[in-house]
Amino acid sequence: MDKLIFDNPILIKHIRARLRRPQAAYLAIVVLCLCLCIMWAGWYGNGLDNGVIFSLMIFGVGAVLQLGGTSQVASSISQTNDVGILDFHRVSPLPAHTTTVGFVLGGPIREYMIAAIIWPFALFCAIMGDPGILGFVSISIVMLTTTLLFHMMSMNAGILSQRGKTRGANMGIAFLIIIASVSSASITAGLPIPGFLTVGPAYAEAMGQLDGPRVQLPTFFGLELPMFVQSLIYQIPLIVFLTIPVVRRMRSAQASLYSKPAAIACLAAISFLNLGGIVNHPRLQPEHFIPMLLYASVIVSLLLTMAVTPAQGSYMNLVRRSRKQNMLKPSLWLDESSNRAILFVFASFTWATVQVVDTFLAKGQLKSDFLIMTGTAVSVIVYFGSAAQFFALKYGRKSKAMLLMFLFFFWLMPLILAALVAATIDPDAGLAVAAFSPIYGIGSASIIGLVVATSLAGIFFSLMVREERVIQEVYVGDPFEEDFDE
Amino acid sequence: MISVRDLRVDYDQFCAVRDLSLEVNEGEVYGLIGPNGAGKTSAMRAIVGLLTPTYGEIQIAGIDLRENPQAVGQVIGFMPDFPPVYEDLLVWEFLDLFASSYFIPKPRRLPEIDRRLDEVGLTEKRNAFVGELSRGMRQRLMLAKTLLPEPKVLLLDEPASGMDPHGRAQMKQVIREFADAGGSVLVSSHILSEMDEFCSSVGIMERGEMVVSGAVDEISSSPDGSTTTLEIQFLNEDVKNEEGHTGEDIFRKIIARSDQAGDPTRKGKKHIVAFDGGDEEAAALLEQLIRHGVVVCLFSRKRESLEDVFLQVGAKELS
Repeated sequence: MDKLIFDNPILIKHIRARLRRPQAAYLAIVVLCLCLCIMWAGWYGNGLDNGVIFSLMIFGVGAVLQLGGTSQVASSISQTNDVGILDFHRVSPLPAHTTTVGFVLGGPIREYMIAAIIWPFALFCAIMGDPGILGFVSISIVMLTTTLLFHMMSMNAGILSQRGKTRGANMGIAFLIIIASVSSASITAGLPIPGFLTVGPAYAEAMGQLDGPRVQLPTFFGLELPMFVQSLIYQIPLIVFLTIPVVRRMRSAQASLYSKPAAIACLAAISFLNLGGIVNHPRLQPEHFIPMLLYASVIVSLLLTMAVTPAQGSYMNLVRRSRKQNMLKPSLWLDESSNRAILFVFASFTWATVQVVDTFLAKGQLKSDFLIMTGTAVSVIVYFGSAAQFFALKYGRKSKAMLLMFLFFFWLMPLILAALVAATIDPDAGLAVAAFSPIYGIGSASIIGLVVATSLAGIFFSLMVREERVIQEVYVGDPFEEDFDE
Repeated sequence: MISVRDLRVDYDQFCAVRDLSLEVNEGEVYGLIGPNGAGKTSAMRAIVGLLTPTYGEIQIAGIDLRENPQAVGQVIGFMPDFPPVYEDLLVWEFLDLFASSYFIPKPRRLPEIDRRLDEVGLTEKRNAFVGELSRGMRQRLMLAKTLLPEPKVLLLDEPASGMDPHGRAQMKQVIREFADAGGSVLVSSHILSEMDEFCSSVGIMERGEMVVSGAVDEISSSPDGSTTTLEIQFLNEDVKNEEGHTGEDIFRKIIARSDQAGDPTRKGKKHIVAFDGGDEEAAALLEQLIRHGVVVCLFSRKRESLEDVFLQVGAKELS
């Protein structure tokens, strides 16, 4: 604990560099003066007990920590990575999780200092009236976990971004924060989950905005838990699963983002959270939430597939190493192994989730449409993963461009063509064309979408298997014949 | 202390290091020589644990790198060719960061930092910002950082680049003292004359492979079997003695009779002779020349420089 927090060298480094006197002292004085002015104005205005000044203070804390701090985390880690000094931390005996904690807490240390100045004023306002001490505590806890969640996203962006290109990643995260914040207003209807990734639900609950006879709050598997508890239920696992890639990259610049078992655990956790949010939802029936569940499962599966798909060089090295050790078939669960085993697990998982819903919630009443939807979703997971692995093995560093081209032609083009066909020829024909793309195809429960997806799954899976053989036989060659790469 | 066996590093289809094996014992300074792209840095990065090798065994101070990288981190000091630094820290703060990272107890940190700063000649810059240091000073700071945790093994990639002559001399002294105290040093450099001065063993890499490896004296003899060359100059080349022989004739006869000396060649006024004898044989040859009336004004025995060996080996490999 001492090394993790109090004597964490990376944290101390950031404290020294970013809280150097007198700049930090000047900043503290400015923030303090602004807070006092706001309190003064509140006191002489409507008073401090109605929650207005408290809300202003909490909004300030949120803005400083979640917008200012998030960009600081990404730039701190990416600069360290760019100049190469991260390598020194990698070869030092300091554990990777200690380094991670140092960066995630140290990068935005100035923002934490500002927040620490504002927070007591918010506490004072809370004690004076709304939301009271308990409300203050619940909002503060969720504020910290939300901050940590966004900072971990930023750490991922920073450690994965190429040299000096964190601006795009930061803008993406800022966009995500704004979208999640806006969606937090809609927790009383539809999909509650994005809202729980912000402090919004906990704030609304503490301020009494969710009280009322017509409000139907989301539950977790039917349990009516306080909003701040539900926020923590969603946020803490996500923080854990966002920490894994950072720790792995802190340990080695070449590591894949997840081990294959960790990726499966991540999909399982996210599916469980998804189910928790929509099962027994006051307004959603199984036929409403199965498409949502499938889309969520496909999106998460595709992201995780990308995280565990080995590059050409990694796969070649695995084959070489196995040959050296006279091991003809290396385990499919190694980081460098192709993604075919994990595709099977992801696809089975998606299928099983829908079957569980059908058996226990819909009592076997789901129509054949849902079978088509599920089949399409499963096929999409398989063909996307196979295509990603095939392009990686076949085209090496050009594989990302190839995959993007593939996605353009098979995901986006059908939608563009469908719009043109619908507008010029026949709307039904347009829908049929749109079903070629899984973006529409999964939800439409179209036979066309299913046929296209299963065909692509078969084609790309066989291409991937063939490319694996090509690497084993052509590039790496016979274990007893040397100099294959000259 | 450093044991590498069958190390191979690949980048996609390019093999950067092929089946490299080397041993660096206690007190030994091993120089890794090679042209750009020979695989030195890839080998170094794999040995220090920054690069996952395709295969191969790496042991540092008896610890297997793959099994226990953190324990290896504790005993190894690594210094890359271009020193990355935190520019927004003071010099002592920078060293304190790494003192803490290497678990040096708090009360020992500041005295240790001051000792290392003194060792590399940076005491005056203790409270300066790292960003204000010149490249050579940063290199010295990096050396101080590398020595701070008292490692058993040093891996130095082009350590003298950017340093002024005074800094280089200091660095050489520090490395020598480290080796004399029982440490092992693996150093790569392009400045071969320097490697010649402080390396006890060297390895020459070409296209990812170790072409030649061994003690400096052995390496110097490897291309044509001779360990040294003699540079001899005398005054009576054309002067005949009573028997009508010139100094040149006598010189050639004596050289021809010697088992250790090769055919002499001329380089200006000097005669260059390949010689694979020891000190006693060289002294005996000089004594014979003088006894037979050759008026020797220069007799110098030179070991073949690493640069010569490197050029010969490199040329052979390329051809």
